[in-house]
Amino acid sequence: MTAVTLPLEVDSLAPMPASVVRLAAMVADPQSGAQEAAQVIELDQALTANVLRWANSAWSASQRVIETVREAVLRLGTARILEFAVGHVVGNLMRKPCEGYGLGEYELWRHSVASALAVERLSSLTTRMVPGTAFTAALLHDIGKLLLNRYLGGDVVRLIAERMETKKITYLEAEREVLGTDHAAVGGAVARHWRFPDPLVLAIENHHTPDTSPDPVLDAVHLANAVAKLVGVGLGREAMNVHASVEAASRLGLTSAGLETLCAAVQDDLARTEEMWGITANGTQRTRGG
Amino acid sequence: MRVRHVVGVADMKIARGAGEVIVTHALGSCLGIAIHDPVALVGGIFHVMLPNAAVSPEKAQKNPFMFVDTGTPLFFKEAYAAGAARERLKVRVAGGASLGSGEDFFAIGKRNYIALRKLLWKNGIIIAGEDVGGHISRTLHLDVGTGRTWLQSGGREWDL
Repeated sequence: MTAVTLPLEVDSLAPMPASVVRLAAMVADPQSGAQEAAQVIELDQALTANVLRWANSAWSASQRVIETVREAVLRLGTARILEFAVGHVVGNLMRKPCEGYGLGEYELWRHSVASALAVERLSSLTTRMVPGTAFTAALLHDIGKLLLNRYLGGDVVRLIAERMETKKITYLEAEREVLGTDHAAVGGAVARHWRFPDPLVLAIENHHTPDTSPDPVLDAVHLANAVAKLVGVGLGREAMNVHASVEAASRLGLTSAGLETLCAAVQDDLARTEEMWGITANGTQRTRGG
Repeated sequence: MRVRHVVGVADMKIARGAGEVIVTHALGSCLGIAIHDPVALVGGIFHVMLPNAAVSPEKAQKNPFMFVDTGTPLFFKEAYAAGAARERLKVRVAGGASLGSGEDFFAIGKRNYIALRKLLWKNGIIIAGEDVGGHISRTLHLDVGTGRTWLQSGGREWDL
């Protein structure tokens, strides 16, 4: 079997609400303020209800009841609201099993959450600042797997495994050889279709190959994916057969000991976060590893 | 009746008697250490993530089983407390896969394995069987009644 060209049905995933896309643009733009974010949220009823719920949740730990979107934005911050909003939209998609990738129920979602947690912790362990967009990019970095999963029938899965084995190449390279594209490229196309800002699109698209066009968001997402793998979340058929760039770590100023500290922190954070996102103890029991 | 115990990451389980099966999933760079005493019928699996507690002493205090150096002695102590004898223990090790091309920076799997070997060597404990390295994800099983220790990965199954 030679490489096939897939119809990229980027519009077949659930649409990303316009309000969320506008928030993403605001987070990427340092000039943008809380007032503007509140205006965008107020135009979206469903998002307004969720934002008020998040602002009053145990997680927010507010001493008093937050009743307006403006207060909620000041309490949580635009970046945090974007993270919740993206998490809310893609969380439902990513909870489903992704059998072509050998990922059971909740596994892709746990991998995405672990990556996002790694980004959050990364800032305290690097010499260079990690931009806020990186959290959202980490949540979304494997979105392409949802689409490509449809093409991964038994024969294709076997063929990818064979290529990896015989040619000693990474999962991504084998995927590209067999399918003519890979989950990172497809993920980039989805993010572009959703009109997400460029740094976010590029971080998704290049998350396995950060050295060709280095960028702090991309480097953070690349390392976050590595950390999620190192704590054993979302291994699947790809397992540990992914490229990991030492250059990305050195660009951000992460040391080898820092990497281990990061793994310890993420493993510990994950259990608590799973509770917040409503992942059952059963789901975690079955899939946790390292 | 067979009782199946699932061990999560940074955790361990010691069980005793026929019918007890212990399993741990998704060993990537983490190590799975299986120990078994065929006379006392005591066995256990320890799923450990990082080599040394020095990188995060506060996490080690909260959960010593996150690290090889703090968790391994406690794991063996639990087995002795359940009736296992050190000279009868069979120790098997699986996991320790490496990420990407196996560059040292990301080689936590290798560091886990080296830390364990050093610790066991110091204490005069021999590894009876091992399946470590590569890029695969492994599931490790131990039948406490028989001592059979086996692995699963990518649809294959083999004894260790």
